[in-house]
Amino acid sequence: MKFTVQTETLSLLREALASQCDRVRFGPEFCEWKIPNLELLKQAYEEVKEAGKPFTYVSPILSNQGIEKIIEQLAFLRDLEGVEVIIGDIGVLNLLQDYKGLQLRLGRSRVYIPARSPWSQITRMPDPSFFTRLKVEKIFYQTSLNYARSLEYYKSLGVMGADVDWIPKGFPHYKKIIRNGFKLAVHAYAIPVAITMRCHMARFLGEVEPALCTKPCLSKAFNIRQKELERDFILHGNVVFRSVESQQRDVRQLKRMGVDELILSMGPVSKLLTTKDLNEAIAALSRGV
Amino acid sequence: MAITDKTVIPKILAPIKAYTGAVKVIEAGADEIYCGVRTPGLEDFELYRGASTDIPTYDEFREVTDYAHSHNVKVLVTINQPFIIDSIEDTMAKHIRNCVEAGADSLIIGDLGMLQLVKDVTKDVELCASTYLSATNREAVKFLRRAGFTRVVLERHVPLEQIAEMAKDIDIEVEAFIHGSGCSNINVNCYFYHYKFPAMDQAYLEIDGIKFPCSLPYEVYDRADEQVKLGTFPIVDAYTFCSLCKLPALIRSGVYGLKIEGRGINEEYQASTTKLYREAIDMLQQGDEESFIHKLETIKKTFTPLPQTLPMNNLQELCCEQERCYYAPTFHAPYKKKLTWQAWTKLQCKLLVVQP
Repeated sequence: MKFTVQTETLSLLREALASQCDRVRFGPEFCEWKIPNLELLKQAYEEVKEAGKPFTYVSPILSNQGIEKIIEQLAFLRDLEGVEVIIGDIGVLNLLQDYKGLQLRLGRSRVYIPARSPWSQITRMPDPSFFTRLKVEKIFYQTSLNYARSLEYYKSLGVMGADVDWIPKGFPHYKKIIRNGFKLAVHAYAIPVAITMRCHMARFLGEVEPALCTKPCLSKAFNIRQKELERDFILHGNVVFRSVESQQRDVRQLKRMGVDELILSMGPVSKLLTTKDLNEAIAALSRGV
Repeated sequence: MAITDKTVIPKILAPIKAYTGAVKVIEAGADEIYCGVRTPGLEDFELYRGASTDIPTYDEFREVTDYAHSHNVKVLVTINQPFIIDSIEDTMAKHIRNCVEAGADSLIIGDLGMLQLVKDVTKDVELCASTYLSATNREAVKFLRRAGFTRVVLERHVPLEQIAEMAKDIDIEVEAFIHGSGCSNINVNCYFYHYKFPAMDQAYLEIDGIKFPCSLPYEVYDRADEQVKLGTFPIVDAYTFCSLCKLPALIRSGVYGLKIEGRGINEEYQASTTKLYREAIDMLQQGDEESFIHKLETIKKTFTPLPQTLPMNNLQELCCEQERCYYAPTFHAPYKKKLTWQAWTKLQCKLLVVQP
């Protein structure tokens, strides 16, 4: 099992590079206003190369402004060898059709998984029969990649893999995707339940202009709790997550299904902030293999 | 730039869920109508909307298309699922075929795999990219055009100036939402399904107003120090509703269609909202922007926005006073911050902003 560490800042990237991880990612998964400037990206790439680890560039959902930033970054990355790009937006996929050297992988925002929902109800029917529940549940735990035509289409565009979530009931369905020649990487600890372009955290903290945002989410997250529903979430910038326990037995199951890459995201959501935190997390999950 | 007789006036797209509703919205001035049709075999599996928002049978749908076509009104059918899997392929293929045979002019498609299936099943229908494909930028729109779509429904969070850029620069019909259900989150990336179950009903008792999971109050704690409770807020509520004031700008943006949300709401709402926008657009088309702006204040105070039991009686109370403008000037729907001064200070002191 390979361990990839996902980072949004240079300081966290350096912590990741000093850890026992196999690969590092750089860039925001969900917020375009956290896209690093080109100089920072170049510096990050140089440091990763120097550390002898493979480099993955992460792109989020974008507006027209975000597209402008991404264009110059992709132009830099296109000439580099062995760089992987996480596609968070189909606009990036469009741009990448002209850049054939990069390895392309769909980000979580591009893969639909109904079971990300925090509600346990899987049908709107008031009293579903056993067989109805069974039928609906079988659909509920699959992903938009459990469709042969989708996989073929993405492959024709040069996409060979995707990121998915740690949803144990969905693991058996991952196997079929992998058998069809698509690589999957599974994110540990947190599942994105909702993503917005009207940043909930920025609004709450009184940020006014996205372009002038002080990016408090780089160091901050909120636990939010809905009392009547008895549900807990993590609000981090423009994403609401629900946390998930990543257990060793799950790692074993993922390995059996053919998954060979786990993603650990650094930051206030996972509370993985240092090399030590990462090494401990990697050691704990490795014991499951 | 003023609206002149050379300005292309966008079409009004109205939602329906029954033949009778189709008759009413067409009478009210809809240029095109859109709907879902219940998918036999998949009635139990609905993620965002229940089967009750769909036209129940293909026969009734055919009546809709016959009536609409006799009034030169196009009918778009939304293929409800934001994804497709191998085990429902046959069901969906049959559904697509039935909808086209019953007279659908266009299919609204929310998944790229579904698009491949539709292309294999039929060539006799226009292809419209749903918000589920989250077109939020010009490259995404170009991608969808390259994939075969002739129309795209932009994600609700796209700001007005960017809508104009896309509508003018890219050779594709662009639709923008104008009224109702301005989701707090990106449509396809939101898994707060609007299911109803006892705990959810209980939670809704706590709020006055629109009842979606994102509008509920949440207790907010600092994740680094869970002893710090900042209060209870509707912190994920960025719900917007109306764009009446922005209508002149929307017309000037060059969009092809203006879409009214509300397939699940009753026919009276569907028709009255269509009529409201028809009258407003007609007024603007006659070049009378000043009268329109003058009349806005009256409209806001007299128009009943929703038939549901809400404490708000008109657009003024539901939208203006709560700042729920669809096309607010920034990315952020305004949020009425209720953080106490003490909690605010405490939080700011704890914030250590790390720059990348």
